[in-house]
Amino acid sequence: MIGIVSYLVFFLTMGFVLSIAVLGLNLQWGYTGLFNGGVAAFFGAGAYGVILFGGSNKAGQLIGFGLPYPFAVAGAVLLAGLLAWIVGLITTHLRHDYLAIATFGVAIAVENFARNAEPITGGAKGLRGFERPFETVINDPFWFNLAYLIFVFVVLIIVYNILENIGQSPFGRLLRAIREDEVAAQSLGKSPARVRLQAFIFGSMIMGLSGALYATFYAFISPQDIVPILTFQIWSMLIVGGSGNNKGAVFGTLIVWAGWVGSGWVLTQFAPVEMQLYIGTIQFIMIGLIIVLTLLIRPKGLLPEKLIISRSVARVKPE
Amino acid sequence: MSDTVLNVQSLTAGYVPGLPILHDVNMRLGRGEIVAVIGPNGAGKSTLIKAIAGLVLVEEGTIMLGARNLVGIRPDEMAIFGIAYVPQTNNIFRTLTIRQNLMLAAKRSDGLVDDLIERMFTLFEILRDKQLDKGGKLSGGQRQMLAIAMALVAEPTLILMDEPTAGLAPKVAEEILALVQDIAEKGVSIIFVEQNVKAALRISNRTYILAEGRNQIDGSTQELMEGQVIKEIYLGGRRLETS
Ligand SMILES: Nc1ncnc2c1ncn2[C@@H]1O[C@H](COP(=O)(O)OP(=O)(O)OP(=O)(O)O)[C@@H](O)[C@H]1O
Ligand SMILES: [Mg+2]
Repeated sequence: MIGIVSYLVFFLTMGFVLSIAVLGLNLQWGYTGLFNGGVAAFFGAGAYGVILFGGSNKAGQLIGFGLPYPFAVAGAVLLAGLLAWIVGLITTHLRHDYLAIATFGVAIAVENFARNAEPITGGAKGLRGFERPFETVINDPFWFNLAYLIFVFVVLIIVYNILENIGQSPFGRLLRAIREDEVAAQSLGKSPARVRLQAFIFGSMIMGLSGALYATFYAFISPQDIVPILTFQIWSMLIVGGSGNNKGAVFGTLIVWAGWVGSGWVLTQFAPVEMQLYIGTIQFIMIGLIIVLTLLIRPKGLLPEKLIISRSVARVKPE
Repeated sequence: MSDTVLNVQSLTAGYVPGLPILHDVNMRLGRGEIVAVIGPNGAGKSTLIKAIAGLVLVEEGTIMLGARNLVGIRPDEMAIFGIAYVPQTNNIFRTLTIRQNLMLAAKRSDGLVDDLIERMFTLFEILRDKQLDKGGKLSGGQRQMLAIAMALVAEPTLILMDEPTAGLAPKVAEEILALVQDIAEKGVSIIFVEQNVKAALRISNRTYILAEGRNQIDGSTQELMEGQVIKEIYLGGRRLETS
C-alpha cells in the first residue's frame, strides 16, 4: 500500500515539475508562436544550475557555491534566462523555422557541454552531492517526498497564476497579436522583435525553474536527463493538452506523463524478454504517434485555447 | 494649397534590392487633405503606401513628414510620428476581441483609453454591440470599420489606407468613404488607395495615378474628371509622363 502511495507521490511530483516546463513552452509557442526546439537546453541549464549554485564544492570540481536553496534556484532560473537571452540575440529576430533549428542546436550543444566539461558538470557521471532543503529536518524519505510534492504543487500554482495574468494583461494581448500578424502589429507601433525576445527569455526561465525542481528531487543531474527526447516529450504534452491554454498544458502533461509511465510499466511486465531492451525505443515511437494522432484528430488539443477576455472588458459588459 | 504634411520626392523603392517596383514617384499631401491613389492591378499602389509606412526598402528619394525624412524609420516607430497604416488585408487581429483590437491599437494606456474607445463606438455603433466578439467573426464591412477605428484610436495626424472599400457591398463602401471624408474634416490627412475611380475622384481633393510603378499624372480631381488620361491609362492607351 505504502508502495503505491509513494509511487503516486513520485508520479505527481514529476507530473507537476514537467507541467511547469510545459507552461513555459506554452508561453513561447501557445501565446507567442515561438518554436523552441531546444526545451531540454533551458531545462538543463536550470537543472545543472541549481546543483552548481547550491551544491557543495568537491575535489576536482570547479564550481559548487553552496548557496542557500532559494538563491540556488534563483541562480538556476537566471542561468536559463541568460542562455535564452544569448540565443535570442543570436537568432536576432527569432523567426519561426530558424529559431526551431537554432534552439535544437543549442540543446545538442548544452548536452555535449554537460557530457564533456567534466570539471564543471561532472561529465557523463553527472553531478551529485546536493543537499536538498529540509532533508535533515524531515529525514523519513516518504514524508520528505510528500512535503516536496506539496512544495512543487505550490510552485506550479504560482507559475500558473502568473501566466494566466500575463495572458489577460496588455502584454499577453500583444503576444497574441504578434503571433497572428507581425506586420500588422508593427504597424500599430509595436516592436515584435523585442516582445518576442521577452517572451522567449521568460518562457525559458520557467523551463529552467522546472529543471531546477527536477534536479532537486533527485539531488542529481546527468547528461542523460537532458537528451533531445525530453524536448519532444514536453512538446507532446503541450500539443495533447492544447497550446494557448494553460489548463490544457497541465492537463496534457499529466495525461502524457501517465501514458509514459503506464506504458513503461506494462511493457516491463508483459513484453517478451527479448523486447525488454527496446522499451525506451517503443516509448519514443509512442510519443511520436501521440503527437501525430493528436494533430490529425484533435489539432487544437484536448483543451483548446479559449477566448481571453481581459478584466477591464469584463467590467464594461454591455447592458 | 494648405501647408504640406507629407512630401514624397523621387521615390524609388521595392522589395528586393536592385529591383525597384516604384520609380521616381512624387506625391504631396496637405493638412486635412484627402489624396487618392488609383491605378491598375500591380501598379505599385500598395507598395507606395507601404514605403511611406516603412515596410519596404527605399533605394532613392525622400519621404518628408514636415522637416523629417521618414526613410529608414522602422514601421513600429511610425506611430510615434502620428502615422497610422491600414493594410489592404489582414488589418485586424482575428483572434482578439473587437475591444482588445482597439486597446492594442491605442497608444495610451491610461484611463483615457476607455474614453477613446467609447468615441469609436459612437462612430461605429455596430462595433459596440460586438465588442466582446473575436475579430474573426466580423463581416467584411465591419472588419474595415474596425481597422479604421484602430487607426483612429491611435490619434494619428496622417492615415494611410490601402483599398478600404475593397470587396465591400456598394452601400457599405459608401459609408466607409463618407467616414473618410468626416475624418479629413477633423484635420487628419488621408492617403487612400481606391479601385473605384469614380469614388476616388469624388471624395478626394487630389488624385494620383500610378501605373507600372510610375506617376502618370496628378492634378486636381476636377482636371482629371475632364481629361482623357484615366481612360487611356486604364484602357492601356498612350501613357503620359509625370506632369
Ligand atoms: N512582398 C512582395 N515581394 C515582392 N514583390 C512584390 C511583393 N508585393 C508586391 N510585389 C510586386 O510589386 C508590384 C506592385 O504590387 P502592389 O501590391 O504594390 O500593386 P497594387 O497596385 O497595390 O495592386 P492591387 O491593385 O492588386 O492591390 C507587383 O508586380 C507585385 O508582384
Ligand atoms: Mg494593392
